[in-house]
Amino acid sequence: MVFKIIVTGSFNSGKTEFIKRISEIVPITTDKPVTEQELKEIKTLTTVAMDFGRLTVDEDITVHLYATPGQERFDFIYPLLLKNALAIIILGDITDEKSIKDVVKYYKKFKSLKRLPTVVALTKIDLKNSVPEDRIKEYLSELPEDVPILKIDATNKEHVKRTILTALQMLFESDEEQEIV
Amino acid sequence: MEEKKALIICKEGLLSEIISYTLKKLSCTVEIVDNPKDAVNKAKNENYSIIVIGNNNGTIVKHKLAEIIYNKSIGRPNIVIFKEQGEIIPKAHYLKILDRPTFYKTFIEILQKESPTIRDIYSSEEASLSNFIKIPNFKKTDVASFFKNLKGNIKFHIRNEGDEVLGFTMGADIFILKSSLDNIYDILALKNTEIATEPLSLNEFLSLTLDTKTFKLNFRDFIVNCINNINNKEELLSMLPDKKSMVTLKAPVYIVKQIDLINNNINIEKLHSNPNITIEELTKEGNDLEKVKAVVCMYLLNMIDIEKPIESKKYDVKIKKSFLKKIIDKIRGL
Repeated sequence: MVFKIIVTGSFNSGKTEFIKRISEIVPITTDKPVTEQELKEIKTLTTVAMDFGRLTVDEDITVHLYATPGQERFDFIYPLLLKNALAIIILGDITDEKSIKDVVKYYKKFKSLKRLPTVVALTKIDLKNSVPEDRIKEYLSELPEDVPILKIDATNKEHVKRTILTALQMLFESDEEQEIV
Repeated sequence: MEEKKALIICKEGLLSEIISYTLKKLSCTVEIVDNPKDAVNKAKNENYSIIVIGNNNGTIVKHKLAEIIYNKSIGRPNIVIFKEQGEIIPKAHYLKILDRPTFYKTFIEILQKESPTIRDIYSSEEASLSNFIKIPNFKKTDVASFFKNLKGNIKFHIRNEGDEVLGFTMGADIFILKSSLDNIYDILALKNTEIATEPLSLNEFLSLTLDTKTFKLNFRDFIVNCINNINNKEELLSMLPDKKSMVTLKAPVYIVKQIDLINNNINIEKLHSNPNITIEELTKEGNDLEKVKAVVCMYLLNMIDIEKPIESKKYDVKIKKSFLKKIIDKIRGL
């Protein structure tokens, strides 16, 4: 039985690094050298379709990890990708205002396709040029209150684990929630 | 009346004569044999309109003998079996099952009151069965659940207000020693049952008096026959957990494929590769009787795991809680 965890977010938000941390295989990437000089200064490779990692739980259960840029040109593939998906992790670069703003855009897009436990993780907390807290709050104010916002370093395995576990725990606990009348 | 041929297979002289007399009065020519071998030989060569099977000198059970005779006969005889009290005879289209006539025994008893030599084998059997389960600790149990959890080498006594069944399992076989049911395969339909069980030791098994009239069948075939005997979808569905529950095949595919009821109605390969399928999906929302039978069969024979999925109103996710727990534990341990 294959389940999926989807990692999305803007360019350079750390998606490939994120799945690398817990994948048992070297992720299969669709990274391509960045051509424009300006972007090259930021990173040399970028994901053009999606990256794939895998985690074998036991002989019956496998978790596939997909990192996808969430660009409109891939919209046709998302319904398929979301089949058997357990959670969505939306990454935003904490040092990049546009990347943080995009988080809400990605949230809305995936929410319209399927209701999945969603966690927002702002990456690169190890860098000093973080966007000020009040502006982060402002940019993410459209997110519902029950969407956790974590701050992580996507190259830190424990941070990555905590992010995914937060999402899965939301799913686990949702079974026991009672409607309050 | 046109003359027809009849064959009686019975070792009880007086009973054979009584039946022979009756058939002759109905314009039959009658032959009597006392063993299956002679009976089969005769059936191969003569076209009998009716064949009566009573207690005989063979070791083969009566319904099996009937099946062999029917298949080897040059004609298509109607076969009547004299059923003993507690004897289990599966139904077949060519079979007519009658209680073994015992009225003549009453005449014998009246005429030979002074003679203690005429044994009533029925009462002696009944006496031994009354003590079959030493400590009959009856508990209200549903028959389907009981069979689902039934292990090997267990004695059981199933009863409700009107019926009772005594039997045991030994290895992969089920034996029925006594049954008040006309058809033992109706057993799953018994309601309001209470059941007592006890382990059966090998010594006790060896000391049991088992003969040709003891019902014995592979447990798997027994369950299949019982389920095949039920044609009420609601009754079958009531044996299953919630229809939203998810089904996972746990028995090897080749084993499941051996059962025609399942193999003909369920895409086993698909079920094997898709553990996310629900009872509802497998049975076409409970509307396909044969599919429902197949799922009940797999369930009672413990070939599938059935688990209620996470019922989240919040998320569009379908996963068994046990699976999710495993994934969480795995990630925690990385």
